[in-house]
Amino acid sequence: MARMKFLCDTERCIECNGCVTACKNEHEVPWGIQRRRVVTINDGVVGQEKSMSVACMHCSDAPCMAVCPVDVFYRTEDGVVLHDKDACIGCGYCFYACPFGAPQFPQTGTFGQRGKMDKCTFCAGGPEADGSDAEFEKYGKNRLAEGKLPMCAEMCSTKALLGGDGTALADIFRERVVRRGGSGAEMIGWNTAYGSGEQKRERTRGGDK
Amino acid sequence: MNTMKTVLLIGAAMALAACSEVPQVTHYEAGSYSGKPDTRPWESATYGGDKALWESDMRARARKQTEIGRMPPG
Repeated sequence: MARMKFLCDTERCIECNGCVTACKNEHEVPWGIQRRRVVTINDGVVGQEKSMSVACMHCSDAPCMAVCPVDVFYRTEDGVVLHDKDACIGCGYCFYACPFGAPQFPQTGTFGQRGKMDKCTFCAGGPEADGSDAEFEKYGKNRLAEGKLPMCAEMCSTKALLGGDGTALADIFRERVVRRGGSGAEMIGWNTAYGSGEQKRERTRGGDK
Repeated sequence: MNTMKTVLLIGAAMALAACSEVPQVTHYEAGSYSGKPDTRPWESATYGGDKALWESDMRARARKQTEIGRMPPG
């Protein structure tokens, strides 16, 4: 059974925001809603910049699901966390619970009251008939039902953002680690994600220490 | 004397009433999904319930995300 996951290779992400644009275009996401965004740390520091594309990570033990007072979240058999917008009351608990800031709320009224929560669906639609207008209007396109992977990952020009079955993604990342050299231990973890990774080695090779 | 005993018993009962231990930790129970049921991706018109075909298509599509192996190493 597939276990759908996203993986962002920070050694490859060039902060082009192609994934953000692809998502917004594919699902016609309204103004003010960011289902996906690119986060950059050490911005402007030569050799220390790291960018990462972030959206709902479709957690195995999702905190949004745990805190929802009306239980609108469900996890599909392939591991995608989705929700029923018709039952959502827009309380915002999921936003506070989510460590990735994935839940988004449209400001629907004059006084900016929250609308129903919107988030990345892993391009899997929602609890409406597959490919229906209602599904597209509420959740966006259902690419998984068409045999396609999320648009953001498929559009990534450097293939930094990978999406799909976790086992397949792990295989791809393992191949990259082997080609980059080293024992592999330094290819994963905090230093690789946020500093002292490939970029530092490149700098050292170039004589700029 | 009986009045004295009664007063003492009631007094003792009132004095000890606060000595009980009430659990302070709330036990939360996971709720169950309250929304509408959803179909599975392989139950769409494209796949007609063929889960094995959908899974193999997903794997093939995922493998297209790597350029390694497409070209001989330079």
